[in-house]
Amino acid sequence: MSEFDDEAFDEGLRRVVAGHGVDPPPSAWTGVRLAMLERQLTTYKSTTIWLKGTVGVLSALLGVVGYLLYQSSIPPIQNPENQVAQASPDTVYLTRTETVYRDRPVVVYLERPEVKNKYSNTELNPTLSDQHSTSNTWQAESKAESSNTVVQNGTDVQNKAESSKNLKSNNSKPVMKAGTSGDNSRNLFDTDESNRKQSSVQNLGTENTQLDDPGKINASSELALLKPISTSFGRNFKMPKPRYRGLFAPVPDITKLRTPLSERISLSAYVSPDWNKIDVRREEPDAFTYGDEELLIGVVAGLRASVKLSKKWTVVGGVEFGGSSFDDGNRRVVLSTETINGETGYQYRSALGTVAIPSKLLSSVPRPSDAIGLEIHEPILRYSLSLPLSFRYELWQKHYLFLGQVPMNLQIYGIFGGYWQVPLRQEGKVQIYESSGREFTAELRHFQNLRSSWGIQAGVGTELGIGRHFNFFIEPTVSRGLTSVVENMSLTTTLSNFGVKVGTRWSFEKR
Amino acid sequence: MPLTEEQKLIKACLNGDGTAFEEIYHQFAARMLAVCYRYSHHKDDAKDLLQEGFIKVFEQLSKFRHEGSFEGWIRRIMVLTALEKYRKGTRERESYGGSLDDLTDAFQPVSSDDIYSQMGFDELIAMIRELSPAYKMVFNLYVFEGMKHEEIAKTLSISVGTSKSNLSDARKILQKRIRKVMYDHN
Repeated sequence: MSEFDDEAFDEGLRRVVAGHGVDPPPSAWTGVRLAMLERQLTTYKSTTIWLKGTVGVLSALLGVVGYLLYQSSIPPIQNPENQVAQASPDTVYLTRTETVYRDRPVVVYLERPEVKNKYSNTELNPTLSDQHSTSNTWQAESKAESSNTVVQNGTDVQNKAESSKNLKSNNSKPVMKAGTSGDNSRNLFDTDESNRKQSSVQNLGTENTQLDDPGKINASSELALLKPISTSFGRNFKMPKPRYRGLFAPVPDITKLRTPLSERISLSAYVSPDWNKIDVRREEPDAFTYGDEELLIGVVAGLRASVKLSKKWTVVGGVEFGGSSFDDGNRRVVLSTETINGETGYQYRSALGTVAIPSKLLSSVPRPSDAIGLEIHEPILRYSLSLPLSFRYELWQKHYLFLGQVPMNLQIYGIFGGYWQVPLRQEGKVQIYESSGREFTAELRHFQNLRSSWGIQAGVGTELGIGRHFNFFIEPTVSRGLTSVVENMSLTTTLSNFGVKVGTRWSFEKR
Repeated sequence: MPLTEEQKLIKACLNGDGTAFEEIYHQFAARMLAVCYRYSHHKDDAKDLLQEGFIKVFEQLSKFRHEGSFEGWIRRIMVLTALEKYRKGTRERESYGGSLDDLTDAFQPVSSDDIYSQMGFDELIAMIRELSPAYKMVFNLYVFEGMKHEEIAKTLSISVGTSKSNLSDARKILQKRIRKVMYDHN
């Protein structure tokens, strides 16, 4: 047989076979459908296991991050006595400086006999009185003392006590002169035990020095007569010059953590177009007859507040209001009567809940085996409220001056967390076709089988800070629902979406 | 650009629309079962092949690029499923599934018109199904799927010569049977 004959033979066979079909037995489709259902359930189960695992890992990670953040927010516990270490009698380590006062060369009570009389009753240390310890000396001591008081260093209490005495001594003189120095400064360290204790208690955290006798002069009144000078001590004080040394590594952290909460808070407002997707998992064969809706693009508007936990980490919480719509592509659905709450009626099932067709709108009372047609001509609106809680991590940041004047800040950050979504309202109009030929528009409002759900979200944002407080940000975010938005149905529906948040943030912290 | 009915159907399937799955199945099942018949020895095998093929079609639907005919794509999946089954099953590689004893030099080929005018679809399919699996596979792939011997050899892991030989033998057997049927008809 030649090749030509072979080709002719093949062509003859092809012509016979072309266009022919063999009707498959009905059981073939049943087999396909059941096999598909079985595979879908298997996939669902494996997905559920995977999701559970993921949620577990994420929860553990969040726990670890939260623990680390909590740990970092606790100032290191240190013995107060260790915070200020006096390496030698001449060296005082300070964690904080205070304003130092010196006296003014003014007459204090020259023209006020009552004050003079009061001071005349004051018990004075004869030594100090004789030595005319100067106000300058006392003030210098006061400086050192107040600094030590802040850090509650009991070892320096003697200075404070002494200063009180010196104060009394100084006021015994009608006129004070500044700049006097001399060996009197050593008397600053002479003190008695009772004064030491009293001063220690009364001066913790305050500059106000009060003595046992209410009639004695109050240090605050004396301070009113003084004016600040620079923190450096001159030679004329004959005092050891305080040397500041950073002994403790955590000290910068303490400063950072002392940033008031009000300055770590920022408020944001944003809007976002949302591209939504419905993921339907059918668990029973009847679920294949409905649930073909598509979510259309929606809009989300939100407010959120954030609190800076550390230099890099911020916790972000807020509230989002979302609106979207869905339809089933103008597909006509045939609804058969069924028993709803003991009454015969029609029920429209969708992937996003069920709703009963109001019987009062129908021309006749629905009877068993009746049917109506339903078409969605306008998308059904869906509103929801979400409560997101996320953590934000600063990936990159750059500060610069715009035009050499305006401080600007460019930042890239990642944000991840979860959200809790509550359905608010779902309503829409549908066209109903009765078997009698009558058609009308019905408004469906009371969707059932809806439930709140939660999910996870993650995104990367870019933020441009302009000026000291204002920020503008763009934040593409992907979110994925982990639990179904419907309940007690033969399918489960999870929503996922992609949005681009565009908004502003007001930071109470100045850049 | 508006979607065609076929594209809408596919999209609906991808969204999990059970009705769309059923619609696709009923639209193509008969023609695909005819394809499956050619690759199977029994009707039950053909039905199993059809089911397996459609399950794969629905699973792989997202990979359909709308670049060619949807029916052709489904048909290709059916053929690949048949090939897979053939590879997994016992490979009957005997060189002959019928009797070549009466094929003499005086053998005259059957013309295309004779076949078309005198052969019925069912008869022809029955004859093809009677071929041995190795002949049947090569014959189907070459005649109906349009594959070349090199491709067939690679697909079935046989030599090009074996492919040619199997095709030639399958043709002869079929021609013999067709002549017999035509003779009986006349």
